[in-house]
Amino acid sequence: MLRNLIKGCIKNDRKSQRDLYQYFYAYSLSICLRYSDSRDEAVEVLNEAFMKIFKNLKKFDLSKPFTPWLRKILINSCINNFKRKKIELVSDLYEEQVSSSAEDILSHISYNEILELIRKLSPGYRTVFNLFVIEGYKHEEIAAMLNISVGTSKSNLAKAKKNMRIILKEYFLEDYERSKQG
Amino acid sequence: MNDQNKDSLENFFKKGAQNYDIEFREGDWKKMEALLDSEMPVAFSFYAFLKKIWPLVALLLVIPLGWYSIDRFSGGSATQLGAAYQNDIMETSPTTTYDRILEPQNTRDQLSESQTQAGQEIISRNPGNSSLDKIATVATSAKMVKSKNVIQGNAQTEAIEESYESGGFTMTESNEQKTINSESYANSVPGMLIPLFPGSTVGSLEDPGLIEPKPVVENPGNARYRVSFTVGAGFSPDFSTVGLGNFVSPGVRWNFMAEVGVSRRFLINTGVIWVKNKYEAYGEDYHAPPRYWKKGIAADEAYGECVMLDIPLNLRYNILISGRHQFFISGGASTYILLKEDYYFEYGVDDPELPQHWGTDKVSVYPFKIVNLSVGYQYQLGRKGALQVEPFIKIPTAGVGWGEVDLHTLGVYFMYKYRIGR
Repeated sequence: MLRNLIKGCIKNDRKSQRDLYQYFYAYSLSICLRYSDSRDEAVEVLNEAFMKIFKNLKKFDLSKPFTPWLRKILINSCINNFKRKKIELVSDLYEEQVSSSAEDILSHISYNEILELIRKLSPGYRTVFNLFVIEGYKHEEIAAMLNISVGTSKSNLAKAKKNMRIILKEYFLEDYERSKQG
Repeated sequence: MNDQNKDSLENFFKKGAQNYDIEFREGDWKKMEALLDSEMPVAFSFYAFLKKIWPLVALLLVIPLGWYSIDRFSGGSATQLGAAYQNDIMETSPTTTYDRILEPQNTRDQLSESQTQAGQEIISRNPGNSSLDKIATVATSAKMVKSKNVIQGNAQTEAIEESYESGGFTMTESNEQKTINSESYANSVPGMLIPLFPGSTVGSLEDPGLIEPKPVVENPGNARYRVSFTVGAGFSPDFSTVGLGNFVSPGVRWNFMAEVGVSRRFLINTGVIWVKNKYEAYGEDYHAPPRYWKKGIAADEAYGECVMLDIPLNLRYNILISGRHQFFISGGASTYILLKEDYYFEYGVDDPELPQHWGTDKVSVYPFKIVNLSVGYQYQLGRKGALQVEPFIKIPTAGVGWGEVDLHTLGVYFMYKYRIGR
């Protein structure tokens, strides 16, 4: 059980560490994949996050839920990875407006396709997009995490969404043409 | 771009991001393990090693100790005669000659003294010969009496052990033999001559001028057990689990018990046990009331902390009574009275709207829903006190608590017991 695993991890028991890692592997990697350019990079960030977790488990209050604590560390690791790559949050190549209804076209996309779409965003936009849309952080929090202004955060999110719509349009256009040829 | 489209986009990605289906890759763990080995190498811990093998160590200790005790005390050591530590009390029939012969105070003193001496006497009964019906046999403690009629195993020894009680020397009976301390016996009977020669027996004495003891027991079947009352207190770690094996940190049990001995072998006990336990349950083992879970998402795990009273009613059977030692098994049922319940939930998804905790101070009762099974060992400290070690398991027959979990409990009671009255 989870608390037993945590206690084993605190004692540096390898089996407990492996079990905890395996238990949260899918959940954790799903977060890291959204912020990374590739699976290898995501696993690297994941392992870095788990190393922090194993080292800091003593500080974890066992009476509180573990998952939010884990998630916070994972996201911080993703952001640190992003900062290491020194990506500028300024570039924007897309200005085109997209008016199609997202709800209409997005209903049958798999998780991997979503991941593929998100990865098409530039790293800076992708990070803000992930933090705001999927993780649910506010712009103030994002600004603090990424050391940017609130305005930049808002601006990057708006641009990320615009770009995402373009990406979606292209994606479905390709898909449509493929199906016509087929 | 309208707001609806904005929301749709966000909702889509938010939902879509939760529908991950990622398989575990061993290679990723190998990378993780390599990192751990470099930064957090595992050191050998003797304590951790001992903690893993403690049940085996305990078993290895208990078995030889048990055998040693059986061998030593049931193998015929009559030096236990007069020991005042049996909590089982046999009372002989008023027709038993010894009751009338022996003076209690004298006997006690002499008995105590005689314990340190070698002499002891065993009086056997030979039903086939009225003149030799009662035979006094003298032996030394160093030389165990080997006659078939003298000592034939536990039954006789136990009878001997039960023979002394405060205030008087009481002969006990087995069907065939009676054993008393020769010196006590001799000294307590004015004018009575009991040979104290090692190895000699009255029945086989060459000098016919020596005494022939008076009839020992006229009605052996009249032996009856005097009910004993015992109280006790102790504690145990509480390892509660839903599905044996998912133990978290142990809780505690404080046990206040009362016990009635209805025979030498059978005792009934009850009491009040204050319990604080901790356990974890997987989602499928945790049955919260219908419609409790929000959005239809049940907790993957529930972590419970409960305070309750355990009211047991058990029957104990002494498998072996040997000197100061008793080995027993016990079984019965418990009523749980839950005083306080707290549950914390873990979900596979991270949604702050899902309930994280549920708790109550409302009392709930589960009468006789738990089966108790235990084995134990009791060591008599004196005439009245005793120490007891009792590993136990509690098996549920119904769900317990708000989550209706099948809560198994393991533990070991360490108790001090005190016999009330005579």
